[in-house]
Formats: sequence, C-alpha cells, structure tokens
Amino acid sequence: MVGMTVASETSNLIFDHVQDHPWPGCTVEVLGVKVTWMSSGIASMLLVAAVLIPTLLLLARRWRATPRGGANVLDVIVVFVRDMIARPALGDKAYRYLPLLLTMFVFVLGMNLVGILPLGIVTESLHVPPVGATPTAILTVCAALAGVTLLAIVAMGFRKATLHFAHKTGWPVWAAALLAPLLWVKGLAPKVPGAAGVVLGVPLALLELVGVAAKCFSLMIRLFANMIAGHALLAVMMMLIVMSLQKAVVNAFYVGPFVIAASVAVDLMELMVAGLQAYIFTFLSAMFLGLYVESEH
Amino acid sequence: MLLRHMPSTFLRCAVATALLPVAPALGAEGGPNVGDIGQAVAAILIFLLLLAVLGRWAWKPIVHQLHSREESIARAINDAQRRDQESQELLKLYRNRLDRAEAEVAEILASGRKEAAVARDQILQAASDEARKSASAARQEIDQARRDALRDLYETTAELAAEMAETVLRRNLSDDDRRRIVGESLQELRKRGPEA
Repeated sequence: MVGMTVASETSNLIFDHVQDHPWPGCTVEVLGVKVTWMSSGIASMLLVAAVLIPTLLLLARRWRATPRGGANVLDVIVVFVRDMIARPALGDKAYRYLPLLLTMFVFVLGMNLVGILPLGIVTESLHVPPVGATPTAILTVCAALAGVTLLAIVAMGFRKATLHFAHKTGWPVWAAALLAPLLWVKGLAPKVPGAAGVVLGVPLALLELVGVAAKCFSLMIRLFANMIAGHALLAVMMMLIVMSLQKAVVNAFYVGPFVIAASVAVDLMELMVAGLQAYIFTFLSAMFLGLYVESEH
Repeated sequence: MLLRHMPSTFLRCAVATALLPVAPALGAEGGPNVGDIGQAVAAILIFLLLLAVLGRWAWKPIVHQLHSREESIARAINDAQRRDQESQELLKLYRNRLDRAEAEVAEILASGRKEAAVARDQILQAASDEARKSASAARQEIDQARRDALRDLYETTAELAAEMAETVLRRNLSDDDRRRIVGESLQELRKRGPEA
C-alpha cells in the first residue's frame, strides 16, 4: 500500500512537468467561468513563439533559391510541408494555403517539443513561475488549434461560395456574401438527382455540417491523446523503479537500468511522436480544407 | 479584399461556427490537462500572431521564391524535354540522311566499280587489239624482209650460177643466155627453196 502511494507520487511528479500550472494570481473568474491568463502552458506557447519568430525571420532573410547553412533546415521544412502535406491534399491550390499550413506545422511542432525540455526543473531551481508544460497536452489548447482549422474551413468556404455564386449569377459580391453560409452548406451536400435530392438535400447538408465539426473535434482529441500518452508511458515506467524499490533494493538494481534505457527509448519516441503529430495535425487540416473548400461537391 | 465586403454578421457566424470544437474549453474548469478558456484564447492569439508575423515577413517571400523556383525547375525540365525531343528528331533526321548517304555511297561505289570494270575491259581490249596489230605488222615486215632477203639471195645465187656456168663452159654468154640461165636458176631455186 505504501509502495503504491510512493509510486503514485512518482507518477504525479512525472506528470507534474507536463501539466499546466497557472501562475500565482493569474486566474480570474469571468461570469462564473475560471479563466487563466498566464500559466506554464501559456508561457510555453509564448516561449515557442519567441523562439520561432526571430529564428524563422532570420532564416527567411537568408533564404535563397539555393539556400545555404541554417536556411537549408527551413528549406527542408517548407518543401516537406508543400510536398507532403499541401500538395497531396490541395493539389494546385497548395500555395494559397501554404502560409497557414506552415504556421500550423511549426507552431504545433514547437509546442510538442517544448514539453520534452526539462524547463520545469530550471524554473523551479530559479524560484520563478513555472514554464515548460506541453501546451498540446492541454485539451483546450488542442481545441483552439482545431478551432483554427474549422475557422479556416468556414472562412475560405464562405469566400469561395460567395465568389462562385457572384460569378455565376452576376450578383454583386456583397449580396452574394449574404447568402454565403447557405450556399456553402448547400454545396456540402452530395448531389442527388430527382425528387430524392429535394427531400434529402437539407438532411444531407446538415449531416455534412456536423461532419465538419466532428472532423475538427477528432483533430483535437487525436493531438491531445497522443501527446498525453507518451508522458503517461514514461510515468508508468518510472513507477516500475519505485515499486521495485519498495520490495527490495536488489530488485531496483536489476529493474532500474532496463527502465532507464526504456525511458530514453520512449523519450526518443516522443521526439518522433512530436514530429509525427505535427505532421498528422497539419495534414488532416489540409485534407479537410481540400475536402470542404477546394473540392467540387 | 473581398472578405472586407462581407457583412460583420456573417463573420460573426463564421467565428461562432469555428468555436464549435472549442466548446469543451468554454465549459472547462481546469483539471490536470483540461485547461480552461484562457489557454484556448492564448493559443488562438499566439497562433494568429505567428500567422501574421511569419506570414508577412517569412512565408510570403519564401513561398514566392519557392513558387518561382518550382516554375523555374518545371521550365527547365520542359526545356530539357523539348530539347531532348528536338535532339531525338534531329538524330533521326541525321540518321536518315546518313542512311541515305551510305546508300548513295554504296550506289556510287557499285557504279564506279562497274564503270571501272568496263573501262578496264575496254583498255584491255584496245591493248590486245593494238598488240595484235603490232604483232601482225611486225610479222608482215618480217615476211617482207625475209622475202626481200630470199630474193636477194636467189638473185645473187643465180648470178653466181651464171658466172659459174660461164667459167665451166669457158665462154662468154650472151646477155640473152645469161638472162635465160639466171631465170631458169631462179625458177629452180624457187621450186626447191622457200618462196621469196
């Protein structure tokens, strides 16, 4: 029982650096809802932005048609996002969405990676408010990222529906824009010929609308679950050392090296997962954009 | 540009729809990894900041150059393919020309060989005719010389015979006798010897 308690404490310790910790005095209540305006997670996001903005601007300044040095890294990322994400999902419209997808990729990747850094220990030793939680292991952050994708789908969908209708009918753009939501939702429904089309049109359109939201919801869950899973696995492994230590020191002597080796392997795997999840999140966003904005329903 | 004309009502509708998946965050009250609306808003704001800054000063020039580079590569590939096609056509043309030239050369060679053979035959024939003529003329000359020599020989012999006859008979022969004896001797010599 005591062993289990210690193990649980160890697990909490492992999770502690992953979890979001509001900074002291940085939580307010708005209309009865708790709102944190600064926490370790938000600080991590700001840190990511603070690293990304100058680094990428500097590399972009050095970027040429044939990049050299550090600009090669940026070139690899940009070409990867173009060829492996934007082009398969959006075809010849890839360049239009490339800035959005590039920002999404580097931001998600940065947030995934910042959680691997042991910043919590540093801030704790310096007695400053905590920094370093994995922002993508916070459900509401994942929800916000998925919301950005949905916002992009809706905004671009409205824009395309407006322009298409204005071009087709000769209406002024502002008048066509009034009908944009209806036109876009109508465009989502698959074409069914005859009377069945009239009857099924509205339910199918609504179903597709729900599908859009559901897909973005799945984006959120996928990112959140994958990022939390790696930390959970690490916590479980570290718990094994503590639990074996409770029984006999000799057990820990045998178990410890294996667990530490496995933890290093899991950490390496987390590095891979960080990149993979950034890729999957961006790719699925691009795919949904291609599906709901650029496809001809 | 066109989005500016969109009425704010519809923008609000768009934002409201976009916030649909953020709905769990709206009701979230913290928790180990759930967070609350504060983190969601912070994430959106930071993302929009990144999009605005990087989009303007990093991605825009990079995407522009990337697009240019891709077009340039595509153009280079197209040019290379076009040149390759042209080269193939040119190669085909030159091969045809070469084949034709080889055929012409073969024809010329065959014709030359044929003409050479004819010329050789003509020359040989002419030489042969000339040789035959020369031989015939030489033979005639030799015959003529032989005949002349024989005639001289016969005449001399006849003269000698007449002189010997005079000596044997010890008298002078008249001119008529001499002519008769020489004539008879010549006839006799001609009968016995080769024709002069």
